Amino acid sequence: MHIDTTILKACASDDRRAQKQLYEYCFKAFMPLCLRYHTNEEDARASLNIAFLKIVNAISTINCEEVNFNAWAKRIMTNTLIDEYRKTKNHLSHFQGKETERELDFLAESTRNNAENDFGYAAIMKLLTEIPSVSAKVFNLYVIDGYNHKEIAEMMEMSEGTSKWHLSTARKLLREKLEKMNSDIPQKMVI
Amino acid sequence: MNWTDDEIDKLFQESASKVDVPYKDTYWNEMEAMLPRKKRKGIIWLWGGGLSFLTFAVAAATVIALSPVEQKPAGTGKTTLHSGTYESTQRQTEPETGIEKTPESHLSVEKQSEVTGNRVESTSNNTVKQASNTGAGTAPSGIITENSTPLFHPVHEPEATAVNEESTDQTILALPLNTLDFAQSDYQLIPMASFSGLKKKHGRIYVEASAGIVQSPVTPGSAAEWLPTAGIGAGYQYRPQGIGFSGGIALGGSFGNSLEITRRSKVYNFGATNYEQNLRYNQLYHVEMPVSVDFRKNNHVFSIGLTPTYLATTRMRFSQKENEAVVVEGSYWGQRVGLHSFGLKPAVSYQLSVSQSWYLGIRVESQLIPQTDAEQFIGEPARFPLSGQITLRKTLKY
Repeated sequence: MHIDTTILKACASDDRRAQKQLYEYCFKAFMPLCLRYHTNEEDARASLNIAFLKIVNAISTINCEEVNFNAWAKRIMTNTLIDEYRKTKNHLSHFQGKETERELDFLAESTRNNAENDFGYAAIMKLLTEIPSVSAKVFNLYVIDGYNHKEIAEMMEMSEGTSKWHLSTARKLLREKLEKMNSDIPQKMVI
Repeated sequence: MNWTDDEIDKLFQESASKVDVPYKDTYWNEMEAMLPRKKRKGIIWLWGGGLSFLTFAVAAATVIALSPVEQKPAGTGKTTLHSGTYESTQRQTEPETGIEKTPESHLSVEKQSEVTGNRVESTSNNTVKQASNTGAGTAPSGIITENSTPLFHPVHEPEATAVNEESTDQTILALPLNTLDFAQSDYQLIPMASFSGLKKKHGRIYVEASAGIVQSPVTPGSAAEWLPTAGIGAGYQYRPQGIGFSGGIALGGSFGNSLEITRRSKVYNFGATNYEQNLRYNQLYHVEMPVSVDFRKNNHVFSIGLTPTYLATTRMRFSQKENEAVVVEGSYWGQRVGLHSFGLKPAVSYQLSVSQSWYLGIRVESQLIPQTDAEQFIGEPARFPLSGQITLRKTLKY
């Protein structure tokens, strides 16, 4: 699907049909991004909607001919996701220990089920929900979204060293889970 | 299998680019509810149209009230032009001759010319020095006949004096000055409009109080809900006999509990929190600018008008619950959630003059512009909510 400047300009002038087209475009382009930062689709869609609202409100301020809409919108999406993380950071850290212990068991179970059904891209991405959320976010920002540790440290309000530590931790946990998935599938196939 | 860091990164980068989330149209409905409402261009047109109509109506009423009326008093054969409204108050007619006399003090234009032999002299300007005439009371032959209809009001005579000195005699003669019968030079000029006398006579400041009922813009139940309303105002009315107009400013309030919004949301963090907000407006205050055209017949005054309104402030009861426990509760001024600021009300009214300065009346209005965002409120929106009020007006001389 292609988004051209005509649609962007129409969105700026409050054209609902154009806004709908843009929303569909943004949904397909950025929903995977939102999903990587949330554990369920409903929350991811809520973040997408908040970010889209910001896009619609700000679209009249940009020069649609010159600005790369995808990069601009992605930046808004990422900032929105990080803002939400900041808002709930204290809350998250308070419950982090319990969450990790309790949810990992549950998620490990669900991952096993997913792996049985489909060892595909979605299942791989779902592994990110099974590791501590801060580590997952740092992994997302660094590996998939291409930010460096300095930028991540600013966004996540942590030191660069902490960012590196989270990245290392995330890789280590993901490695374990990938190896576990690999070992589970043949067993299932044998059975 | 041992995964290296690069392999893990590559795997996730590739997976992230391949993930496809199916889109549903229902998602857009949720999103659309969050978007700001479309700019209401219709309101601008409605306001513009309404104000244009009012301006036109007031201008028309003024022109009708002040326009000159041509009369030919019997037996004199001469033409007198005067203001219709002026006639009703100032003109005196001698019963025997039918000749009108107008108090000089009300004349804004004095007689401009007189016949001296064959000369026409202008008293207001010397640029027309001399003009030949074929004889007293006759028009120059070949130009304007004796029975010609005057082409202009005598008040406009100074226009003739604007002719350049270098103009030819023929040009001057061609002017319709000669159409008047100068031999009978006792004609009177009455001003087309003299506001100096009328202002005190017909203009009044008024103060007005009103009370009544107004239909709630949202009907929570099956039947329309009526709310008490009251207001005070002041303005100016210009009401000569017949048509007049008035305009002013008023503050009106409506009181009730029918405007209610309940919002619920569920926030997922670790566990879910249910939030519920309840907003109930119980007082709405509008600034209104009523403008009307009046028709008076004896002691009865009928009016039609338009009243632009602006929501000045509100009083609202607000409460918020978290997981059924009330965490915030109180009354607040000035909230506008779900309400629109501007309105426009056409109105018809009847007033009875109970004394020289007191008027008792009834007014019926309807709100053309929706005052609420109907989707947010509990109940069905009323399309054009009506209101009925009893009014008491006191006019004051100034």
